[in-house]
Amino acid sequence: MTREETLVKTSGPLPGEEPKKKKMRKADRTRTLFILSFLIWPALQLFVFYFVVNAQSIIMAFQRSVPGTTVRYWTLDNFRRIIVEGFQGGEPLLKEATINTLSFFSFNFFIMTPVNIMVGYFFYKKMPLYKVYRFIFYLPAVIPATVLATLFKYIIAPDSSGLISSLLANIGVQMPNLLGSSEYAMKTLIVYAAWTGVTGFLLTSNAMNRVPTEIVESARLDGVTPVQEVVRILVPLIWPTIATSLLLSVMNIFTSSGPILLFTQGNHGTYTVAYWLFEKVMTNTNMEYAAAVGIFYTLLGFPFLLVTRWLSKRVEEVEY
Amino acid sequence: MKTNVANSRTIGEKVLYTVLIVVFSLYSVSLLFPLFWAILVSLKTHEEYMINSPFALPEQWVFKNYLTAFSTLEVNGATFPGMIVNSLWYAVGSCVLNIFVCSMTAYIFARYEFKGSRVIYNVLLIIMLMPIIGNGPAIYRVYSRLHITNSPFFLISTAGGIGINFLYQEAFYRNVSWSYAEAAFIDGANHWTVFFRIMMPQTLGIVSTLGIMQFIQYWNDYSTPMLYFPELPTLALGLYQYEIKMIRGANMPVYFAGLVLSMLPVLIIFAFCQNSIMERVALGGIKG
Repeated sequence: MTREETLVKTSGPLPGEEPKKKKMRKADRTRTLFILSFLIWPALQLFVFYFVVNAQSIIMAFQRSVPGTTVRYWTLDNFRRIIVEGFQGGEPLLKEATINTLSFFSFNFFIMTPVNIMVGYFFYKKMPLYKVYRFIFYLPAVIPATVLATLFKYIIAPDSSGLISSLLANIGVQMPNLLGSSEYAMKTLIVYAAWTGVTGFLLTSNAMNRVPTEIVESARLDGVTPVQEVVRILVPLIWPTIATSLLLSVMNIFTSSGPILLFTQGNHGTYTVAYWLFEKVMTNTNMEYAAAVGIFYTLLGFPFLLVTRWLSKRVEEVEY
Repeated sequence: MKTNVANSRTIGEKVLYTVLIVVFSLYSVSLLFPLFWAILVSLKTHEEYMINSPFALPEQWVFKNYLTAFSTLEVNGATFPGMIVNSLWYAVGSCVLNIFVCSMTAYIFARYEFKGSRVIYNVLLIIMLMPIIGNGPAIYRVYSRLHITNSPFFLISTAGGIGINFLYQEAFYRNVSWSYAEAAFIDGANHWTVFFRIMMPQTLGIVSTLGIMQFIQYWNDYSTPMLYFPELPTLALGLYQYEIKMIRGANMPVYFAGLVLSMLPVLIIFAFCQNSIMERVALGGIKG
């Protein structure tokens, strides 16, 4: 490799060089040229869209612009605002957003992950009609979220256009306005997340399919129960998949704005961190403050990420 | 193995499966019914929609609603066919560019060693796992300066060489047999010929699966277009904006026809390619 480097650096044929060596030299130069031709665009792209963007984000977090001008000055004000406005004061939106974000995450972690492992297991076991269910259960990942959200709104609409409300009207019961009240709005969004969130079975069942059949077969001969089969054998063996998807969900916890925009736009106590940030960019307001909030949550999310990484490493020792 | 498992079900398991079938079927109905309902509404007249119960079947089946949606649904100056064009360049362009650029980086890191290649590879892995949250404001500012907002040039931001496509293709190139390439090199082929003629065609299986999944994702994406090219609304974004702006008394069946049309392409693709999606996708690798 070092040879190749020196060869590329030296220009012109060396005196007394044998033809074979010359050929080699040319081959190495072509090889370097090939590598360069393949990496130059990705490197440039990464530089602009990763390094420049994130450096800009850090710079913005420590700046404020003078309203109505293009003048900017350095300040720590944006970070002070996070505490003073975001977590204290009359309308602590960031506090609300943090709590809601954590509820969405806990729901996914404690409820949807086990559900997806169970559904994945039954499909792996090739339960009756599993191919049909598999197709239907995956539909929420295929149908545009805008369409699904619109349909969900019509299902639960409180007026005569609502499907549930027109059924309830027959027995004289009034449908509450689920999305329009602080009492129900967040709970309704979590129900929506559950309704559309079984798509994760695809990863768990496919991971189980890759577990060597001999292992499961021999455990069965030892008289293992289905529960033991899942908890003691399959989950540990597919742990890398589960851990990786948990890692992805930790990464997404603050970045994917979810269905908030489609349903409540943050009204009735439904702000999440990601939606709060999305709104700031969309309305092009308080961009520097938003950049500081982004940095703040990046630091806050880092321990989460490390713990999940550690969890996934720990069990990676299981190999098959 | 398959038949063994099926035959050896105990009575307990049979009861369990019966309960499961009931639960799974109820959940399936909850997912399918709204879709059928949307199709039913899209075939009604506006008057029928206003007066009759939402569950009533159409008295006249107005298939013309679909033509009306196609020719009259408009939002922020973008027509329905215009939104389809926007969805297409965004979805197809992003998939093709991202998969292609990733195939180049993946091939180099899987098959070529050069000074510092291991270090760079590890740095790339860290970058992929270290998201910087909320860099939206900075992205917006950088993209505005590059003049790629509200323009198909936005696609260069998706033409990166790392990410999920890189990981899958890198694993593939690392494990695929090198013997064809070796033979070609002996016959005097250069590096480019070997990549484009011999190595890249072999990835067609995984690339098509990745492509299908990403096409669906980009086709349905409304938040990226909303932030970075709102003047060129895609179908997903356009229908959302249309719903927000919809005045009372707007023709709902026509709007529903638009919704049905917007999900048709992805549903058709999914129906035809479901086996490759269902059986190939796994975290940590796609079977070739």
